[in-house]
Parts: sequence; C-alpha cells; structure tokens
Amino acid sequence: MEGRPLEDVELIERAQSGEVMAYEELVRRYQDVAVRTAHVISPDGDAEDAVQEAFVKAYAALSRFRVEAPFRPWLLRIVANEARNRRRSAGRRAGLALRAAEDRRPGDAAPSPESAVLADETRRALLAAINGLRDEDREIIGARYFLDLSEAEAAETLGLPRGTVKSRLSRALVRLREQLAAANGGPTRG
Amino acid sequence: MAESRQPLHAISDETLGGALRDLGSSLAFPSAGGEAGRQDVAAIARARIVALDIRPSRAGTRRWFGLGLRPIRRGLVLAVAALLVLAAIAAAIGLGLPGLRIIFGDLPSPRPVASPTASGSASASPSPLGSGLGLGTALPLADAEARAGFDLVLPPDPAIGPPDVAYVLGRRVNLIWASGPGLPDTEAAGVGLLISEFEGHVDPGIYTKILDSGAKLTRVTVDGSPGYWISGAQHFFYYIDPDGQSVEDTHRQVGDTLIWTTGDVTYRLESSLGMDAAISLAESLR
Repeated sequence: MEGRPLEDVELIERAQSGEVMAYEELVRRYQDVAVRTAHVISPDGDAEDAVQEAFVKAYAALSRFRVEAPFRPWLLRIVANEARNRRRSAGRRAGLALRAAEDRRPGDAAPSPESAVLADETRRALLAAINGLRDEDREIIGARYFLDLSEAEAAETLGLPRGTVKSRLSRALVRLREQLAAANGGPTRG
Repeated sequence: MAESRQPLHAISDETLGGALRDLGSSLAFPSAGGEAGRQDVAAIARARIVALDIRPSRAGTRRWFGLGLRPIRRGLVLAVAALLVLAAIAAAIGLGLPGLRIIFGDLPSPRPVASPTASGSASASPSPLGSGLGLGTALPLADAEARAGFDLVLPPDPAIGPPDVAYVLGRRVNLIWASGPGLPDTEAAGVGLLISEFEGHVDPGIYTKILDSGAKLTRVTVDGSPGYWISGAQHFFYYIDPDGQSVEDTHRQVGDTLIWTTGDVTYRLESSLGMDAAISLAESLR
C-alpha cells in the first residue's frame, strides 16, 4: 500500500508506457470535473458518454502529451471537443437545470446568513438568462464560474488564445445582463 | 448589502460573479458513476481501452483514429436508430437482463486476451483449444465447477458431449467445444461452441450503449427466461458479480451470441448455429 497518492507525473509516465491501470487512476482524479465540463458544453447531451469517449481518445493520444504540462486542461479540452460533437446532434434544448433539492424549497422565508446565497427565484432568473445565451457565451461563463477554471485552464479547455478569455468573458457578461434586463423589462447597467 | 436589492442586470461585476458561482453550486450535474456497484467513467474507459487494444503510442494513435473512429461515425445514424429500437424494447418489456450492461463496439481483430486485472491467465506450453481468446485458465471440468461455486449446466446431447476444454476466469466458467458435425466452425478456428456461465446479480438498470451499427439485437425467451440474441458485431459485457463488483467480460467473441439469465446465473452461448438452433440448444442445457 502506498503511503501517499502518486503524483500525476508518475501516473502519466506509467500510462504512457502502457499501464492502463495507472491511466484509470489518473483520469479518475478528473472525472467529476470532466463530466461537469461536458454538461456545461452540451447540457442536453450525454455527458458521461462524452467523457468516456474522451478518456479513450485521450489515452490513444497520450504519447503527444508533454509530461511537464498541466494534465487537467489538456484532458478537459478533449472532453470539450467530444461534448461539442454531441451538441451538434442533440435535438431540442432544455439547458442547464437546478438540482432537485433546490426546487424543493419554494420561497424559503428564512434569509441565509451568507450574503452570497441567492434566493431561489433570483437563481432561477439567472439560470434562465444563462440558458438563453448562445453556446460560446455559456461555455466561457460556465468555465470560469461553474467549473472554477483559471483563465489559462479555460483557454486551453475551450481552445481559445489565452488573451481572448478575458474579453470573451466580458462580452458574455454584457449579453447576460441584456438577457436579465429583457426578462426584467429594464435597461442594462452601464 | 446595498446591491442585493438591485435588479440582477444592474448589480456590479463582482456581485454578478458571486451570484454565478452560487448558481454553479446549485446546478444539477450528471454523476461520473461509481455509486451502488455502478462502474465509474474511468473504469469503463479503461475496460474499453483494454478491449480495443489501444496503446498510447504514435502507431497506436494512428490505428485508433484511422480504423477505430471511422466505422463508428459511419454507423452513427443506424446506431441511433438501433438505440431507439432498444429504448422501445426496454419500455415495452421492462429492461430484460437487468444485471448486464451490453456495449456494442467496433473491436479490432485480433483482440487482447484478457483484462490486466485477470491473473493467472495463460499457461506457457501447448495451447489448448480456445487459448488466446481471453477465457482464463484451463482446468479440469470438476475444478472449474468448484471454482464457479454453482452447478454448471451442459448440453445433454451425446453428439455434443462434454466440453473439450473448461476455462475459469475469476468465477466465470468458459466451456469450449471443438467444431465438428452439428457444431460448425466459428470465427475461431477449430471452435464450434463456447458457453460461458457466471453468477451475475441484478443491477437496478441496464446500461446500453451502441458504438457501431453492425450489431443486431433481438429480444428472445429461453425456457421462459429473458434473453437477447446478438449478431453481427463485437460487443462486450459488464455484470455485477456476487460480491457486488462490476466485472468486464472482454474475451474475444467467436460468433453470434445468445445471452440469458436464469435465477442468479447468466449464460452466454456463442456459436455459428443461428438463433433458433442456439435457443434450442440453450433450452436443452441440464
């Protein structure tokens, strides 16, 4: 039994030499964020299926990965591409949804002590606006705020030049405000 | 907070960012699996990598992208159609073999012999019939039955007789008969019949995934038990063993497959007999 988990680098090197079990251990570390990424990119596609396919493809391509580079965004880019392929074939769009637990608290009267916690109604309005955005706006907002990726990670995951992330996010937020304002019947801020 | 009473579209970037993070923590995201005996995505991907014999080499990469993906894409439309048919079947009859996950795949040939977790697979010297198919370790029939932990069933027809070789992989028994009169050759030279028997217990749902359209799946009944006849494409299986562990069955297939479950035991019969004769043989097993 190992005293501590193996570092990514060691697992990557072992996987590159053909150790499939090492690869399984490696990608298991990222499977949750991978499924979330696929879901943000293709909310109506089968995220688990996309990730499974992406993990197989990533293994096939692993010899091209530079060990010293960060593995997570490299993997997530393959996941994102796979999810986009599925998005094209998806039919009607239902979009992202709130967890059922949240839906079961209609109009919770007790205010949360945490100022960051939104009322359910506000959250739903925000979600509706997100779902009304075009794909590339939802992707960049999702990468930064829902997946908590750094700018560099978001750039690699979404296949963007690093310098583009900030400006694209800024434009996406403007359009999000426009959606919110339209829903609220008012003008946008600034 | 003063801004909290403002309409959402008018709040500051910082507050909007906080609201978006809060929303992110409230979203319904799919799971990566791994709960309640279900394999997670990493394990399924590993099983597919093993079954497809994918290597992280440049040659392997070309092979995967060159030969592996194109047939999948070509078959996509038909695969979706087949999936709809399966969904209709599932809705109509209630998810036939609930302990199994059936995955259709476009598997290169020759296929690997066993998963890396399988131990004690091959013996070095003269290969018994069926060696190289990933069936496990060859043992005398009585020993194989003891390892299985349940009573094996066999064809009573004296023309077929006892199996020529019995293999054990984990607690799964794989029985091989040589081809001959009444048992035409399968895709594996010299092999006329392969029957696999294993305890598989019931999973809450069936997971069906089609990667290639070459497979044809027909729902059948074997002596009153639900089953499937699968022809025309390679496929591989996951099932839940008596210890609650998911097991991938990645042995090389030799022919069309009849699969059915009776009680706690699942059976697979591979042959070139055709569906009706395979079902008759299955129903004769004692």
